[in-house]
Amino acid sequence: MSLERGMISSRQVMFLVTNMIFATEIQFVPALLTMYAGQDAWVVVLIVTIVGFLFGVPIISLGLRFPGKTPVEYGMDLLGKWGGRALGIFLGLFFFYVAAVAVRELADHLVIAVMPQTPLVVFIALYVFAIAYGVYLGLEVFARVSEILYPVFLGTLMLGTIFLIPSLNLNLLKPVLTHSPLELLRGSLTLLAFYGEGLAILFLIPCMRRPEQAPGLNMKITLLLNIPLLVMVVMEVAMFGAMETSRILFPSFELVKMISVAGFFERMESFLLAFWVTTVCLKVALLYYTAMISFARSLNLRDYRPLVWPGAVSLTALAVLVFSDVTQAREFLARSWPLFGLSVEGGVPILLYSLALLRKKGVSWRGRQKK
Amino acid sequence: MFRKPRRPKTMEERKQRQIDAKLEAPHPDSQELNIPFGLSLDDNLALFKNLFGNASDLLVREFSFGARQEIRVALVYIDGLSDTNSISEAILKPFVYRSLSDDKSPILPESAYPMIRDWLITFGSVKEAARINEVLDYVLTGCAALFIDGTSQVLIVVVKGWKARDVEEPKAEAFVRGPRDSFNETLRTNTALIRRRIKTPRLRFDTLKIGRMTKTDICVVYIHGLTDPALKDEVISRLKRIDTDGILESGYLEDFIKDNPWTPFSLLDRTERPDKVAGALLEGRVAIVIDTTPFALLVPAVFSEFLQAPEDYYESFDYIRAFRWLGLIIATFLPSVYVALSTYHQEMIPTGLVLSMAAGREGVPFPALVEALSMEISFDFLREAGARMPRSVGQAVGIIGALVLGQASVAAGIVSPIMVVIVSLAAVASFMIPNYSSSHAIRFIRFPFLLLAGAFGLPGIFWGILVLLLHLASLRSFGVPYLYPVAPGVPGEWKDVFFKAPRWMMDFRPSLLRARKIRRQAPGQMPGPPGGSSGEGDDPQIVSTGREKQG
Amino acid sequence: MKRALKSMSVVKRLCLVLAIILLPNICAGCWDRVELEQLAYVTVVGIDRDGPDGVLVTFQCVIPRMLARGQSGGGGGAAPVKPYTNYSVKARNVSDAVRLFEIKQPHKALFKTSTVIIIGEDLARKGVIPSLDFFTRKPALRRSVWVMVAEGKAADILLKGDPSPEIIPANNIRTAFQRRQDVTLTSSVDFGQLLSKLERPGVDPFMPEIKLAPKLSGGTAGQGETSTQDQQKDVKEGEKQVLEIVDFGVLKLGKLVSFLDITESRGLLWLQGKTNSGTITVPARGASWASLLVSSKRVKITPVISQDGFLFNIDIRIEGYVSSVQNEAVDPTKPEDLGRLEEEGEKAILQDVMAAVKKSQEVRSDFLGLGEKIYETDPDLWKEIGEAWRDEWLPNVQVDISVNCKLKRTGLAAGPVQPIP
Repeated sequence: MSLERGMISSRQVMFLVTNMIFATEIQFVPALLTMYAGQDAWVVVLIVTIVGFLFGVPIISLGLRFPGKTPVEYGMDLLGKWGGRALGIFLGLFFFYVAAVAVRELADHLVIAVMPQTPLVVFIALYVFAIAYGVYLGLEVFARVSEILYPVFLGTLMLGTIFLIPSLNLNLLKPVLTHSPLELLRGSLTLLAFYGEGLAILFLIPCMRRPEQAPGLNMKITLLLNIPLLVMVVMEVAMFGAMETSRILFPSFELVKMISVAGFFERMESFLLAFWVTTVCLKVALLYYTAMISFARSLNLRDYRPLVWPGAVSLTALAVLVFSDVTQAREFLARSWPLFGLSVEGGVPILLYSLALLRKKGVSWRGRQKK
Repeated sequence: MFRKPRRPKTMEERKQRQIDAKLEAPHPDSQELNIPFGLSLDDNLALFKNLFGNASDLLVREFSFGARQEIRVALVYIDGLSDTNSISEAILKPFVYRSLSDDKSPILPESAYPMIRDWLITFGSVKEAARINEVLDYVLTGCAALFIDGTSQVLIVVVKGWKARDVEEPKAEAFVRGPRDSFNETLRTNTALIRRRIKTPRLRFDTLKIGRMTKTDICVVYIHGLTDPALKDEVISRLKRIDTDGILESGYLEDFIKDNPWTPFSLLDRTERPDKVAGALLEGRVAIVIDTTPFALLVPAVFSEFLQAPEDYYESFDYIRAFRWLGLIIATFLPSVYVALSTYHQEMIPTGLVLSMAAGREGVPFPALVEALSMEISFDFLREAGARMPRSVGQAVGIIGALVLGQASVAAGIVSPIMVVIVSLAAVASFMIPNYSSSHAIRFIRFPFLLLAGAFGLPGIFWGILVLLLHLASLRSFGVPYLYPVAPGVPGEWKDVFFKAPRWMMDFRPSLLRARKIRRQAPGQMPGPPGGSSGEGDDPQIVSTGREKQG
Repeated sequence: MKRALKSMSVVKRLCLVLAIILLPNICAGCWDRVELEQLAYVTVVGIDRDGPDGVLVTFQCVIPRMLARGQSGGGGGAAPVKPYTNYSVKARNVSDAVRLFEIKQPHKALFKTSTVIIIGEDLARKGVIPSLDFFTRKPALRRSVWVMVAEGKAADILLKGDPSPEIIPANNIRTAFQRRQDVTLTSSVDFGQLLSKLERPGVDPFMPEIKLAPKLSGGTAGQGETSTQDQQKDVKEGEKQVLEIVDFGVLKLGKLVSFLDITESRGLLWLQGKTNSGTITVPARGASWASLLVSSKRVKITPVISQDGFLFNIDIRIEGYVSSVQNEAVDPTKPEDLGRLEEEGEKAILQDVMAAVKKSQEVRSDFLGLGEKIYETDPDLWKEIGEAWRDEWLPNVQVDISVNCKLKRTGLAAGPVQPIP
């Protein structure tokens, strides 16, 4: 007696997607942004708030054009059977790769910051197990978990930062707007590449109980993402200064280190880090789920579950092999990822959407509503 | 030396058991007995006595009546299950009076049965039965069977009456405010206790019999027109699937009808309080009341419910709900967080505290993990021993535990004092959880968390939390997600989860129960000052007149 | 059949979970695990220069066991146990020193408990950045740890500083600091602030200076006999001295260039604009003095850039109250007397600030952050002059200081005590 029929609510989609983007963003973006835009990093966040919102519009209307279908399925409609399959495999590999990178980042961070002597592979295997377990149980299940964990995480983080306000030095934000538009643009692209992972929402829209709520999600997700990010970026610059923020490997982590509540609750960073890691797990769960769905649909499987455990083993291996060291990971995020990520995250939906418009496939959401 | 002669013995035993099983095969409740009685009273009685193997509690009273004692009758009942007063008053006395009456005309054998049925027996509830298994069922549930010579019909007088516990205060659920009656072991009493609270004909009791031998009466209670019929049907169909020899307690059923058998968390709620059952019924839940146990089951049950006590609803302002959540977190995680902090994240402990903790651990021979594990295990030993021992001994167990585990082990330097504090705090917090069975689950999951904390510190604990949440989120209780209304989130219903809103705010029933009528009360019942006089100021006279009018 | 299979797989899954949880415990086991008693609780780190390239690092550690004994034993007749020890390690760099320290004594160093890093004068003059690098990389140390510069050797501070009245010496430094804060203005500088100032254009960091001062003898102690005992003990322990945190050391491009005197230090603090409060003593009337407890409420520094050079308008607003007047002729309730006190206060503060600016120009270190103001208002100009700021431009800047002192209260009494003839 299933009362839900494998469906998720728009609230869950909101938290899933926000969690997915925020989890990695919060750790890496402040350092990268201050590297490009110095103390003007917050301007970049504002720019991306607008650009990101615009970026979300075609993605969501693409998803709504083909109700109940995943991108792989309407990829088959638009590109032909084999084209669609190729697209599915490609998207699957992309998400799989991003998932591996995220797992690696998570484990790297744990090893660097909390447990320097524990082998990396232990954490990778441990967390991949949890992720695969979640994906095996299904989208509904890890959507529910992210609905619990993410708001609590965000709340704790924001609550913690309140205690930092007295030690901020807002002078460090001056001078304002000294960076050239080019520098701001480079920063925006970096941030947008993280933002673009929201592409995975295309795989969630067909599972929504009320897809008509999807357009409203765009704004909610944009705000829910960028307000905390703005707070964190401003705080980090005002705490450490722009130079120091870009020098520190994980500025948010360093910021959290400064939290001291009544001289008693101090050094919450291990706690928040461990908490953060679980949100990264949920992010990876979503990416991994998306990858598994892409593969399953491309291979014409009815269920993705048989792929989950074998995939988990490959995910572990890929995560171990993907970078040789932290410097390489940082280089990847700062240099290659914006181009690589954005070209896929922007290219695929734009390709599909323009094809859909050209070939007049699918029905636009407004059109259907009028009927 | 000993084993060789024993083996054949056990073999013999096994054989004996097989033989017993074969003998049992033409068991009274099998279909073979689904046949009518004969006409001869002696044959029928012989058959009946034979079925019971001359059990000593089967009473057979043979007598004759009529002017010339021409009608032979036998009364059969089980001693102790039937009310002897009613039997003598309502069955035996009329026969005697009839025999002694002035009417000396003989009674014809064929008119005897209707006569007895229609006007001789002076008892309210009389039934007829003709088949052996029917009569058996009635007799075994405490009715008296009246065999009359010359007819295959048997008259059943429902004189059930056995020594039952009175309606007493609940033993397992303690409270300060609220009704003090609780269920007892008699199904009828229990249903009556519910009926007394919900006086509507739509309160339904659907009865099933489960258990080949125990034939336990099981009552599915719901409010017709309010409870989702699909839910009720699901409950009944799950109950009907059960085929076992006996149901002795609600726990037997629980194992059979749970959605996920592999979870330490209880997916059904159980209670011995009729007010709690009535409250659940009014929300649209289904209750399962079982004969011979004072514990009723409530379905579906969600996780947050285990932190709710009926008393929450009787006290108007309640912050204790939030404390219970805190208690839940402390009971589950405190020992493991202590282990994680003290072995991996010492920097998180405030300086003064870490120094005194280190001073306390000086000379303790075990690592913190082992220390915590052994303390937890010995605490569970103590708790179990205290619960199983007779009360007088139980106290001694408590004293020994407090002295040996608390003081002596610290004094001997085996355990650090702070560990004792931590473990006892977690134990006390686990007692805060109102639901006994789910506090078991909480105690159980402490151990994996301790191991995780010992192996990976806080990341390990959070890994455990993730897996635990995934597990909890995958559970369902009769189709309702176990973490509802937190996930899937229904923020509107959190007013009964993290705190308890005043009664007038809870206008709606829980939505996922799919009650037919979602609204439970008229909206806008927030009490205010006496109407209209708010502008009058603080003149005491006006206030007092306002009150008088209200009164 | 199917049901059996299903339950089997569940059992298997449970086993797998258990195995994952248990295996690391049993086989490889807890790589980073340290028990509480296996830690060395470092409270103060002192870093000194040792030879041309080496460092001498002194770790002061608390011994928790002793601490507990001291608490439970109570004063009593027993000799007081010293609940801390010092370890000095000579090494090439700080990281090496920590490693050697962990070899020298059996415990792993825990830096969480450390509240202060003290840098010796020699090392500070050579440059603080190389020795601090270790602490920015080490996850264990927090940025809120205080950084101080020692007059002389940091090791001496740790070895000879008398820990009483606190049990833990690091707390002693904190207490000394707070004592100082009650008397006059002061400001702690934490590691994070130091780093962000080092990397900020147009500003040089400063650090509180910690030094040993001879213990005041006799007078301070209470009753006669005990005080003599104390004195005897002092003599016995020899060089034990009181810690003093009075002034500041200023850096230029990461190297210590000078120590400030008390006037300059105060001038520096007035300009920080934080609500530090401190007592200043001003002439009241004739040869008597009045004390004002004041704090700076708002500081505004506006650079005026012209062809001739730079002019800084420094506008300081001070608020406070009268804490003592040593002259019955001065009545703080009278507006004209209060006004005079305010004027005197303004004058005193002006002198302090002028002294600080002079010092800054003299040592060519922009610890007041004047260049930062130019950077904030005109970043393009800064790009041109930034390189040469300290040596060419700073010594020639003009400052125009205006101080506005407002006395709001007169303490619990209104007028002075007036003896009636």
